[in-house]
Amino acid sequence: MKKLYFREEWCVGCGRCEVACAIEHSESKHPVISYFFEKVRQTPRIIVERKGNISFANTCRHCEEPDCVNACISGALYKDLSGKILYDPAKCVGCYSCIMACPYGAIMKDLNRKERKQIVKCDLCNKREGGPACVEACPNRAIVFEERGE
Amino acid sequence: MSYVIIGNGPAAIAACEGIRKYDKDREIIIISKEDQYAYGRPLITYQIAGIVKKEDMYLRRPEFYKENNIKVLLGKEAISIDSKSKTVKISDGSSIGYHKLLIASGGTPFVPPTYKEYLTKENVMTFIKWADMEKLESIIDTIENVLIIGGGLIGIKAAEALVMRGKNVYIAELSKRVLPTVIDDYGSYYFHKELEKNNVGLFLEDTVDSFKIKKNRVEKAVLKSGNTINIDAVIIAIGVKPEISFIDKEIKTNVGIIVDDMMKTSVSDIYAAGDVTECYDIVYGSKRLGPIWVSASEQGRIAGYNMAGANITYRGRLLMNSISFMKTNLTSYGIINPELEYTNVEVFEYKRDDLDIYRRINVVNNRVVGAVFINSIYRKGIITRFMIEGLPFDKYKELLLSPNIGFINFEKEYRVKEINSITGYKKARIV
Repeated sequence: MKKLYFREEWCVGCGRCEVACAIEHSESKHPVISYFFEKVRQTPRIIVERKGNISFANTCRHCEEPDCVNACISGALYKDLSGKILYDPAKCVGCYSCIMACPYGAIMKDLNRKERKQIVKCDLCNKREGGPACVEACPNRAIVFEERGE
Repeated sequence: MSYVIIGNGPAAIAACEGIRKYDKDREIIIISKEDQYAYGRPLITYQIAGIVKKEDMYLRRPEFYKENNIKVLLGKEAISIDSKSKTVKISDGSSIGYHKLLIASGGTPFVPPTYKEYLTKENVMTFIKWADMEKLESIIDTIENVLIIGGGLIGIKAAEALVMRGKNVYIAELSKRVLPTVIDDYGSYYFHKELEKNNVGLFLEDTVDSFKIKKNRVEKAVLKSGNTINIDAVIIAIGVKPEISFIDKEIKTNVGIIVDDMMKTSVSDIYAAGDVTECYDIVYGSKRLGPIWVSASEQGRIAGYNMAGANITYRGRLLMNSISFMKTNLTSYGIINPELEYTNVEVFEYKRDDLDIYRRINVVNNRVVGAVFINSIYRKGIITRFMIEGLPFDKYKELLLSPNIGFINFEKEYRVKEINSITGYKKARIV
């Protein structure tokens, strides 16, 4: 299965992957409209960490044996046939067990959704043509989307 | 002969998936005491609160069972197991032979003998299963004041649901704090504050002495402390204990069923998983009860793999709980009060009462053995690595107490390997 891989030597820490992620998961997919005019401002599913001159992005590993799915009490998190770990917000009750269990810290509270407790997580831009938006947005090819291992 | 699973919760579902990874053909039979396909039991409080609909409470799509060749016997109870003839006797009088058997019967509410007779009243109930939810639902519009006996995980979530439905809630808890098993003294202060803010009447170090009955309903509770409260409903949420009433006497038990690291019981071809077991705990380093959802799923999956002929070992359970009451959220891991177990305990804390944030890390011999986080959940799952892998605390002290836990403070080799892992984390298993 194709997954995201991160090359910290190539990362300039610009955060464009985070922005692209938030926009891709918005309704309008427009940077200005999604930020100012949509009901819910999107939380990026990818995180750029920075310290001194080191920076790198990281997100969900779509584990073969996902702790988040094991922890989910509602069936909102599930592994699809291709191996992606996906999220059905309609089923989620906001217990945050997945955040508690994920050893990558890759699941975030949906901070801007006020009416209901929800989470966000990387879906590898599931239906997007051309693959994940973060890869496309990276000016330095510090994020790659490819098949590794068996 | 089939794979037979007694129980229909997360351990049972994960076991089905585990079996199907290695054996696509042999039929699986699930014996389900409840008349429902597998659903999330903790969701009953969210359903009462109006957060989730009944049809969204099921853990898998309806096609799951057919696709995986699973027959579910709904509303049937396992009466006994005969390991000599490899059969399970069922409440309808029939017997089923098994190829491999999994006991995943979970827990049953603990109700003290003095309260038992009241469970027949129309306004008294335990609160763990679908039928309890329907019982509460049937009277919810007629009640105003509710007493919850027990301030543990179930009691607190029941209180939240009832507060959200506009009810007047009382909690009687024997301990000096709510959530005694998953929170420390200081952390419980935030919950006491939040309960008070939502007008929940809290009676600590207290319980019910007697009830007053009128027309088949409990209408008053007299507490040990002498307080008398008028009530329209009672929820008994004292705790759960493993459901092992039906098992073969050959199977080694303590309070729960003792399992090895492949989830085998002491009797061949019989496995156990979930809340019913006493399995190895990573932090305690011994076998003990630990009824948590995530471990039930892990144990079920490992049992399933091995029932289908694989040879996979469970690394052990890591205790963890996440619970919210209204705006206050708790995430806790491992041993909460290690001073009861060890002498050389170091406690590191970060407190911001003005922001309602609290972080506590329990350290023994430079190893993290437990942690409590109040309203500070951001990326906290990373800490499970410390308890599972035994990473040294002193090296990462700042990281663990900071709000922005991440990978940047780890050694380069470790972080590059981990954030680019091909298979993902394999906490549950050793191959």
